[in-house]
Amino acid sequence: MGTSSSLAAYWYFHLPNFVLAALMYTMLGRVLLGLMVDADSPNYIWRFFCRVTDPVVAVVALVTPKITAPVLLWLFGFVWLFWLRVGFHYTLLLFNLAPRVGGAAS
Amino acid sequence: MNRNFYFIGIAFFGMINGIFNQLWLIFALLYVKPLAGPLLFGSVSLTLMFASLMVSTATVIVGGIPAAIYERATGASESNNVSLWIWLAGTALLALPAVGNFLQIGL
Repeated sequence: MGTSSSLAAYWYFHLPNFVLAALMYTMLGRVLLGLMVDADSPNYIWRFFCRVTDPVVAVVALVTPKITAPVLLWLFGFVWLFWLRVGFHYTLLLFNLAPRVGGAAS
Repeated sequence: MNRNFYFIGIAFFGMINGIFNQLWLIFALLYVKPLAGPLLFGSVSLTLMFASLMVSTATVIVGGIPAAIYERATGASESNNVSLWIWLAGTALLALPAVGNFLQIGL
């Protein structure tokens, strides 16, 4: 199956997977950028990263002990999103609704 | 007890599970390449280390959920010794399947 036909056939997998991947990498970007800029920096890339990932961080903070430092919370968010993608693909795979792992790259 | 000891214990159990839990490590390994391949430059050893790191961190995260629920239920404004104990016990329980391999192989 070609890439375009796979995208069309499995759009319900690829679309959420792409959104989760974008969030996951943005979260990693926030962690790396957080090492270099202040938390209240006006840098537009930093503000964009924060705005995009803040909802995920808020959800992750609900299930994380309060002693966790913010940078660790962002890293936990990255790992949560990774396992969410794994779980999403695996669940669809159980019902034979997702492409094989080799076609899940993004 | 000094809080650093809790963190060392939590990280220790996470590490044990990440290195010695064969089931989850292989499961993570299968997924790391397609899902996080661009991060790892196609290196097999980096892929293995990343998979191990994902399992370790997941152990720490999942072990922390009961502690977080306890904190919310009691309305604590910050983590205390009880919640850190719960976190430590949670990660220790999750690392149980890997303990046999750890004791047999060792670090």
